[in-house]
Amino acid sequence: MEKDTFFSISNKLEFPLPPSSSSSPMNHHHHQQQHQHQHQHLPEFLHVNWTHSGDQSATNGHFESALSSLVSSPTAPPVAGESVVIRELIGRLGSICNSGEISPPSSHFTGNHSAANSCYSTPLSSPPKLNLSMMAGNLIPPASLPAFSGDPGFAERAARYSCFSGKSNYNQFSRVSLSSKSLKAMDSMLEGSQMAGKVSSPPTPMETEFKTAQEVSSVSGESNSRKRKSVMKGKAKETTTTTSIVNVSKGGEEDENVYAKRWKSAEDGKTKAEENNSGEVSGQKQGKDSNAKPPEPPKDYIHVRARRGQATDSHSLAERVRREKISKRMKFLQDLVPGCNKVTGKAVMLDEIINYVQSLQRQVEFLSMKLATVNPRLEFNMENFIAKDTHSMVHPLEAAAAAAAAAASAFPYSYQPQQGTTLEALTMQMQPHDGFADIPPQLGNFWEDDLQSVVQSFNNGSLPTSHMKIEL
Amino acid sequence: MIMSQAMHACKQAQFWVHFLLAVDISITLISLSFSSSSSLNMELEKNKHDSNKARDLNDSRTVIERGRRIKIAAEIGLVASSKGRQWSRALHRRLLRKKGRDYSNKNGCNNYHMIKSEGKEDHEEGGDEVVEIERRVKVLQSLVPGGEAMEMESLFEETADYIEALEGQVSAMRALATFLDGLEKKWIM
Repeated sequence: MEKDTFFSISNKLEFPLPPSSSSSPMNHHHHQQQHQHQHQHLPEFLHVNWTHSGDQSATNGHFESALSSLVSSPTAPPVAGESVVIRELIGRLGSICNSGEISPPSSHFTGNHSAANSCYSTPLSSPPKLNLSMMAGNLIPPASLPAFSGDPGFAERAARYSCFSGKSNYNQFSRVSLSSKSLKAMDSMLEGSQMAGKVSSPPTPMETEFKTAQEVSSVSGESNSRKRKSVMKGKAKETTTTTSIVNVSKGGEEDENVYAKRWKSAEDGKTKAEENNSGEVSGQKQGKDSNAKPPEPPKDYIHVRARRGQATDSHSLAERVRREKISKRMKFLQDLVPGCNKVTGKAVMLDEIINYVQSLQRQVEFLSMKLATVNPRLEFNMENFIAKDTHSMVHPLEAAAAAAAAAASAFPYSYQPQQGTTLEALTMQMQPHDGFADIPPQLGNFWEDDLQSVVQSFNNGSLPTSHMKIEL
Repeated sequence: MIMSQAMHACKQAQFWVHFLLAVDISITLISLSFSSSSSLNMELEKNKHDSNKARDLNDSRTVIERGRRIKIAAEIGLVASSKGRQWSRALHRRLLRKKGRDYSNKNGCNNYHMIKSEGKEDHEEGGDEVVEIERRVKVLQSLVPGGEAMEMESLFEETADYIEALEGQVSAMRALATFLDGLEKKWIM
């Protein structure tokens, strides 16, 4: 079911977009041609790293390759066409935000949004979320795609951003793509890619989104010329960050506003830009935490709102932005750690977090000891439970269950010297492999080899049945 | 809020899936440890045909050793389930370093209490809350693998991801333990 959804969405991506936006049809065709042209190059590379979850990952590989080709296509058209592309994208997102609904045929983005939403509740939905964030981005070199695909944290971030942002986006599509690293890495990348250009991304309220999208699209045309040079440099970077996802913000979403600010502040680390911002913004002082923000004039720099009566020099702004970041993350941690809703204050909150992490670590140790005392009184029938399909997650456990479920029987005990080295072999296996899919085949082999030795090593009733009864 | 919960569930399910893979390792290790362990290799060879060998399998020493190996397997699963994270890479490095040494517990569970007592003895500075928070941040850094290298913002983010990974791991191991327990007591069989 999930696969069908993914496939249908990827199909929609590859087909001509309806002329809902004002973009030229030429760009569409160009995109499609680029699609098909590039589609073949990526899948085999992607599939290498996606085999671990079988069919679903293959689907996602297609999906991802389609998206990456999508993503890379905007860079191909001539310089003049880029702004057109950007305006088209912005216009499309403006239509998205207006509708508030997700209709797959309408555009790439809506299609991806629906992918995100439809797969939101499915457990293994991280790859589409990845695609969602990648789609608005720039040329992503194929080398970075496996890294993308392998990062559930990234998927989570992307999903959060995308799900929060059903609304329009601004001219950040121009030259950035979401990195596969965590937010911190993205921040550092942003700071590192200062020269790659600044992107302005003011959040907008729901009502005026469409209008401001239009404004922004017009402004983006000018700012694109400035960004073009820096964009070329930005392309060279392996992972760049997208503020597009970040800056898509629901009007009522305070979290997203703060996230947008974080992105903005991260991108705009330069003092000069901040001074510019403060100069502009101080004329429009507003409550920082209000959800309904009037539309800001889209500029080339990051906007940081100054509070009423607060200093607007660069240092305090940066400090405030940093504090916002930290408080946002603490809020997220508060959601994670159970029973922290009533707690206020950083110190107590940190206390709770520390206690929770410690308790989790202790639980892991506890459980590992408990598993160590498990006593197998087993009888084996090898054909029944040797896992043939190493890609299936369930099989090892089923095999163990089958093994454990059998009654004890006598087997000659034979000691095989190479067993002790399995752990070393296992951990050594992990080192040279970046792709997660590389692990299952080795594990499958190990499983089969060791299971055989296990079979031979169990005795029947001679095993004493002493095990601790530990309360969980 | 609902979104974050749903996302959390997604992530946990994903960790579960990834961790089951590592549980494969742990099951292997369990079985392995019954047949041999690093400290018992020689002993078992000597007692190869001795019927008493089974008696050693549940010695406290062997159980502890087995537990450590299972914990290593759990950490492998943890690393595998969350690649691309700073703590994951740091944990991976730690595991590889461990490989050549004793499989000793490296988690500083008592650091918090140590640091707290140190703080009480220390002379409190003017910025009281800042000092307090800094202390706790240090403790958190010691808990999260690779935390010393992170500053506050990224530390929180890594902590969030680490917590989710740990929760997934704990639930997976707990389910496994319950399952095997049930088998032994013949609830299921």
